[in-house]
Amino acid sequence: MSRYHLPTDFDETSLLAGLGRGHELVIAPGTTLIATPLDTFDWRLYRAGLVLVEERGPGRRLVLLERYREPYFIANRTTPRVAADLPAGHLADSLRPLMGIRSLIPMGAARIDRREGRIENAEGEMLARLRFETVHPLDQNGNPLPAFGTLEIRGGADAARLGLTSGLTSVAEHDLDTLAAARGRAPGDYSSKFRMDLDPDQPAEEAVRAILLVLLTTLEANVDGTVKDIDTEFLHDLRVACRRTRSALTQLEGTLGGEIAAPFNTEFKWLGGLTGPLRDLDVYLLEMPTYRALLPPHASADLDPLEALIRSARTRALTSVVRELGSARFDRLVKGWRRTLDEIVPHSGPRASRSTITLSDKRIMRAYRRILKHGGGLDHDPPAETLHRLRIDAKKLRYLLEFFHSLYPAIEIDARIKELKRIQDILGGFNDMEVQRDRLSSFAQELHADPDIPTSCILTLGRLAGALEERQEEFRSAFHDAFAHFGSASVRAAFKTLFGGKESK
Amino acid sequence: MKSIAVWTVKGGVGKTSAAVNLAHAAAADGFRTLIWDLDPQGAASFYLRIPTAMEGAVEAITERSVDPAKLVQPTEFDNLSMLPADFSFRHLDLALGASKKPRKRFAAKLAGLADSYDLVMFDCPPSVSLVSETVVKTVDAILVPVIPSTLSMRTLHQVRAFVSDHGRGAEVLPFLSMVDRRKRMHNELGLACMADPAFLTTAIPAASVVEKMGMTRAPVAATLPSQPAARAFAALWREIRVRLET
Repeated sequence: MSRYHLPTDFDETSLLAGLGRGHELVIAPGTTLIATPLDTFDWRLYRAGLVLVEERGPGRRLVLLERYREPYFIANRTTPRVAADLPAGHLADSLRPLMGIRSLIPMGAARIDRREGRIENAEGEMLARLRFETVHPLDQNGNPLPAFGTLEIRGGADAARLGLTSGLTSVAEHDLDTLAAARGRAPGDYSSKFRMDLDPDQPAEEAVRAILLVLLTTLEANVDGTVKDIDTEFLHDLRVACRRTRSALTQLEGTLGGEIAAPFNTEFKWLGGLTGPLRDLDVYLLEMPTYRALLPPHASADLDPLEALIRSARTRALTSVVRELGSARFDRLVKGWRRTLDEIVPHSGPRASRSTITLSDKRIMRAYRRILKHGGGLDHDPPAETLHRLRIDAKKLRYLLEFFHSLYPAIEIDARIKELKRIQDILGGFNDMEVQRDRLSSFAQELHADPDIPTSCILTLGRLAGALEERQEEFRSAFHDAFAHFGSASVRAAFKTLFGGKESK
Repeated sequence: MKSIAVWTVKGGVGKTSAAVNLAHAAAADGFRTLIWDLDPQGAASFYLRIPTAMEGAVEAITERSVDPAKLVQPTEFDNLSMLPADFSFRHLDLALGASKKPRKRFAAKLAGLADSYDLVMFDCPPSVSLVSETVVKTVDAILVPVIPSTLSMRTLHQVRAFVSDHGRGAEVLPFLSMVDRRKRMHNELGLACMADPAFLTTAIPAASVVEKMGMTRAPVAATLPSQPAARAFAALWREIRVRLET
């Protein structure tokens, strides 16, 4: 497929100019449609080289554009939101693994006047398939912005060889950039991953401020999706941004000046606390299929009352989160924090002017040593409190590695993150099982008090709690070996080489 | 990816129009469909306005080094592409016979298309030849158009015998084609066919709109979607889809 910009005064018959006698341009009557590109908030389709467009005109269909492939079309009745809504077949096969638990949202819209046609030779054979379009991008409020014309050519006899398009300028195969821009977005403008480029020699204060600003922007970007309950990742990302901010404030203190951060730290703690219950319930619902799989098939239905209970608890929790995110306190937090970061007086902190790389090296090594200290000497049956403390230690190190990622060779720092991630997965799994078991017993009590709930359901919850405990023990016993690797001489040496400061490099 | 051959050993029974209309119905149903015209007459290519003179069309089937995907042409219809026939296909039997392990090579060629298509529909020449034998040995199902006439039904027996001798598990799916409800014999023989559980239950009517495809050069559903013939092809496709899934 090739696509060209079409001047408003373009004479369609000029396409035939270079062709011999008997060639004809056959164009069908035009149609008008509304085209809406859909993607996840974090552009998972776009990142995989895909563009999904819903077209609503005389019919309604989804179009999938893939690099190096013919466009794919399928009729649809309703706009797909989650992966399960996608019609079975090529679309579901391509998009489900990418979307995961994220929902599709409109990334722009356009009104399109379209005419389809072909160029045929004297034998009536099609040399090229043509599509003329006048595209009116629509802004947030549905108002049309200045239109532009395009010509799309598909066909075995390539347009260039036929000389069809001499004088025309190529454009992208789709207008995603333009349509997204009309909504203040750009393809790829958001990712859950923390990514920023820092200069090793810039003053640490500047770097820390920049990190905190990025985190604040991420936090704010996820408020709308959380409030509208588009998918559970908005809240998750919002909470991660909040935790990262708190972690940065405590671990990098001294860089900004202590009195600046302290009051905000309390407020970010408040934000973390108020969103926690909703996140726990989200996790429960996301894990529900796993729980069902842990039970024999006939017992799966016994979890229905539990699921219903969690859903209604979630509705209440969401209402409360929505209220707080709309509160004056939250507004003061984000606005006040941004103002504070914008207005920081240079060199206010005691260690503000040292270089970013020095700060990063020191803090990463400190966090790594703390993990070694807390995790060393544990046997095959480490106590839960120690694992809990280690989980927090590991998270702190992880955040530091992500904040300062750009200062180190990617291959090296990614290898360290991978080593850390191995123990984080175990520590996280251990903790999740504990939290979920605790929560399960309180759910069980609640259900037990309800005379309409059959005893078999309560018994099944007991069974589930047992299965969770078993998994928790698996995590516990896996910890020893994983940690032995993480604390091994070779990993220690690798950390020392990468983050040990100038003398080690 | 599924592969279907539309094949019979008798001409004039609506084979090519079935291939084109069913491929179009599958494409409209969201299947990325390739119609591969192996009939040297090139009627399917003609119906879809695809030029047939193609360099390398034979080699795309017989030579390892020629990728058939390179010869695929988009049609005027969404999700529907075509590998057109070439007049040189009249020598395809000889070329296949001269190549090493033709079936294995052909199967590899077909497998190479699995990433881009959900369905490949072959329009086979109406004869018993090495070409049809190779295809029959490779595809998942063989669609056999049957006119409710004694001769056409006799042909079905021949096709079944051939497939049971040479096929490798391909399912034979006969369907009634060019049925004229005004003819008593069509009704009687049609009823007899329906007693055979292998038969697809949708019958394609004899219709002038199908005959006119030579002039419109488009599947019936593209020009006259509400015509009974267009609906019959769509219904027949849905039946085939279910059979392919089970």
